[in-house]
Amino acid sequence: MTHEFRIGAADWERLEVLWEIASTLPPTERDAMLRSHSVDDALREELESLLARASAAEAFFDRLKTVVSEAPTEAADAQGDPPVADPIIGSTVGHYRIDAPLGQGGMGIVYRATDLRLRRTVALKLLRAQRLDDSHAKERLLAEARTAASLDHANICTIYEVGETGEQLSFIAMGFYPGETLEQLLRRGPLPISTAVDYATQIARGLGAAHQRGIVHRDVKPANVVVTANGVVKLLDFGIARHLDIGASHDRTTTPGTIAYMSPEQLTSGAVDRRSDLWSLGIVLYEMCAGTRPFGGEHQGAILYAIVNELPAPAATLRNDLPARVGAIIDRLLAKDPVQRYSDVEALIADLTSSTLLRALSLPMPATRGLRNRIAWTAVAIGAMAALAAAWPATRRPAPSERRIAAQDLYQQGHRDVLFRTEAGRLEALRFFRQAIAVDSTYATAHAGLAHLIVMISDNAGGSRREQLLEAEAEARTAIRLDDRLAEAHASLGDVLLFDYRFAEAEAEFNRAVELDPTTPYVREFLVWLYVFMDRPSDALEQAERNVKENPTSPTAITEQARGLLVNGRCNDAMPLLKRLMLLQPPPARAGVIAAQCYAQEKQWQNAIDAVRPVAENTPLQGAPWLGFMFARSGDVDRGREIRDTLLVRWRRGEVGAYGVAVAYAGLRDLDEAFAWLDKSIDDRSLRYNIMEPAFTDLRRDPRFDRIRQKLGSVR
Amino acid sequence: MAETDATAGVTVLLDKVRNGDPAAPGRLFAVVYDKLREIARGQRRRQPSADTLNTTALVHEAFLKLFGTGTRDFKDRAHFMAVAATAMRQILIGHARRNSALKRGGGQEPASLEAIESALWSEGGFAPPAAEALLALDAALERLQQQSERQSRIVECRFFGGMSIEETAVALAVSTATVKRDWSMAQAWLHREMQRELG
Repeated sequence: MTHEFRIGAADWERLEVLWEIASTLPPTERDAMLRSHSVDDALREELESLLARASAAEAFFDRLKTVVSEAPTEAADAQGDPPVADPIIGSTVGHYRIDAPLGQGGMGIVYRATDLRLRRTVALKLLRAQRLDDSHAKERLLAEARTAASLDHANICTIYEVGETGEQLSFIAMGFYPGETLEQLLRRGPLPISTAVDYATQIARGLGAAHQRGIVHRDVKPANVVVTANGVVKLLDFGIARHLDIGASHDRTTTPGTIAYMSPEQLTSGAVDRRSDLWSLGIVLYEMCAGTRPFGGEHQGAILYAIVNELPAPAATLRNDLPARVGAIIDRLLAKDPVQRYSDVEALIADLTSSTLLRALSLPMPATRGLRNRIAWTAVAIGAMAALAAAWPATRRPAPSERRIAAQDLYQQGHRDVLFRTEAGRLEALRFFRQAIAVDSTYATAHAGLAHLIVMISDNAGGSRREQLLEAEAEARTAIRLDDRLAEAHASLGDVLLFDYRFAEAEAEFNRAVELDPTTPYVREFLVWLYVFMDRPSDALEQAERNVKENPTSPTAITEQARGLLVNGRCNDAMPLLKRLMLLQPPPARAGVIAAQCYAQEKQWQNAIDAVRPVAENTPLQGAPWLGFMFARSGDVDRGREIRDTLLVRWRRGEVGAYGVAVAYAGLRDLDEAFAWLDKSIDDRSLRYNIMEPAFTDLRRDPRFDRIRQKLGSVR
Repeated sequence: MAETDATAGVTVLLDKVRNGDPAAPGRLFAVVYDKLREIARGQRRRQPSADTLNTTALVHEAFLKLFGTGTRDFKDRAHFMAVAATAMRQILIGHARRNSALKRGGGQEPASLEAIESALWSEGGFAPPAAEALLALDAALERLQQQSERQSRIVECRFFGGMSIEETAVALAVSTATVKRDWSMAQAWLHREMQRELG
């Protein structure tokens, strides 16, 4: 038995603290809390997986304890026969023995029962018989229920049998799933968005399987959705609802809830097809996110009127962390005109599981979906947002703040750690930021964010960075002009200046940012780079350690701490940190380069090569030069030269900066070439702070290095 | 007379435990364990058909037999119960092991947690599902102990010893808030671990 999951004592303590906070918060506020505590993904996943099963676990242990310690004889002695509230308990229906009531459904009572033939527990629904006297209707019901029984899908409650026992009772025997209905779950409040999207996807999958066989559910609602202890959604009551409910509603006081999920066409014409199920799912998704139904009202009439005539409040107004994409999906599901909804469930599932949305929600991504999908989606989302921005000012709040809200929303979608970590994610964030500025050009935060992102992207892109730095500087200065007291604005100007090698100015901007807001994201990481570049190792380490103190679980903070240790000759202290970082998927590129340098000092060449190999695979422009460097130093000069040659070709094509070529030459100890290329790398701004790191020790001892220093100091 | 000796013995042992005598916990445990086993055997002799052990009742009965009535305060009681909880765990797990081995016969695939869970609602006592669940719980609890000794002790007290939040807090010298938090987190953690193991 392998149990790969074992967390360190510090993380466990942190988990306990987070558990305590999170378990007192409504699910809607947990995301924000986790963000504000800058919880890393692994811990966050662990916490969420535990929180998700908290109530199921409690019920389980409660039950287990009862079962283990039940003393049936004592109870019987004290109270005589067990109380029998419902005379049907203990009796048999067909070959089912009825054990206990489970709940009251719209069509009758559901019992836990034992299938005496197969010795398994089932849920048995006993149907009210009075409306079934019309034998034609009954035939239709049975025919349809039998079709439903033929459905075999993980998200559909299995129907074992539909049967009759004489005149009075019809029954449906179905799978018994310990868990809660979505209705019960929602009584405790809205769900985390990622959970809501997950459940909606599972419901949609169940519906998809049914629709394929021409079965429409007709009664999608939280009470018909069971969530098992494993988080698997089971959709109940397929294709049975119509005949019974509509017939029965005359003689039963229907609760307002029952029509709340019905589509406009269902309520007006009764003409129902699969798109009606999509509407109902839209209401359920809305309710899972917002905690309330879109069409409220105390009376049936009011609800009915609202469903047919009114537009619901956008779910985002009830839930500020709702990604615009989810809002757009809800809007589309709740189109009054069925034609404007998704044409089929598959299209909905594609949107619910689009990699962009999943990434925005930090959910694991299916591997198959490519960039094209994301771009298409971005276009849809932005289109919807633009339409919203255009349509609202006339009827709602004044224009500027509306624009600002839309811009903030777009900015928030781009501003996520998960996006910042990968190249594709950064490009996507870039699009969001540009859109935010397009919607509201006076939004300083978006300008600052854009400047920072351009610097980051140019750091990993090939060729000359000069133009990108110019653009970033313009954005950063715009941000400062719009809001001089915005810490991010100064920080992002610092980013630009750092890579433009104007170190003193950069330091001033970073310090200003820290002064305005000591928690400004990334600023201390850039300060580490700055001080490494300025050859002030102890200042670098100090900044790195303060950063880690503030963000103890941030991979980038830990990476920079390792760098701080590296430049202070403390690889022994850096290695444990680096080993932890290497467990991340993908491992941070910068950590790989640091680790390789530590291994190189110990002449552990194979380890050094292994540390940069994934970097070279994931981000070739950053990693390949270092792979070449480590090969060359390990004695495999041929591989070192091979990579250098490739880099030269790529440099000519403008795909890689001069600095990459310099690293490869440095590895080969071809100092003449290395210095020539370092010189060029100042011109194209690809030179990085690593030249002050151990890998370049021999170059720094060479008198020619002074020229590099001078040139760096005299930029501008 | 023997009863009185035993009572005096445990009282002294309990005081020694509280005063930090390193040998005392082991000896107290042995006494409590024997007593619990004895009561459990007696219970099953009286009720051969009832294949269950009422843990809370057992612990209470053991306490009365070992200490008599009304002699010790709440704190002592809590300490005793914490020891009894560990003993109870061993008794229950031993029982489950025999039950599981007997009923399953070997060669059979262990049931998934979901299957066990659903069976727990339809069957009772030491039917195989409960035994499987207890064995998986025991294994998971050992792993929990590696992560957090305190949480695993809290689970023993709450689950195997049938102790209240307050009793657990007193016995382990932590706050009731800690017990509540640890208990809920430990249940979620154990449930997840059991699922990993059983599928």
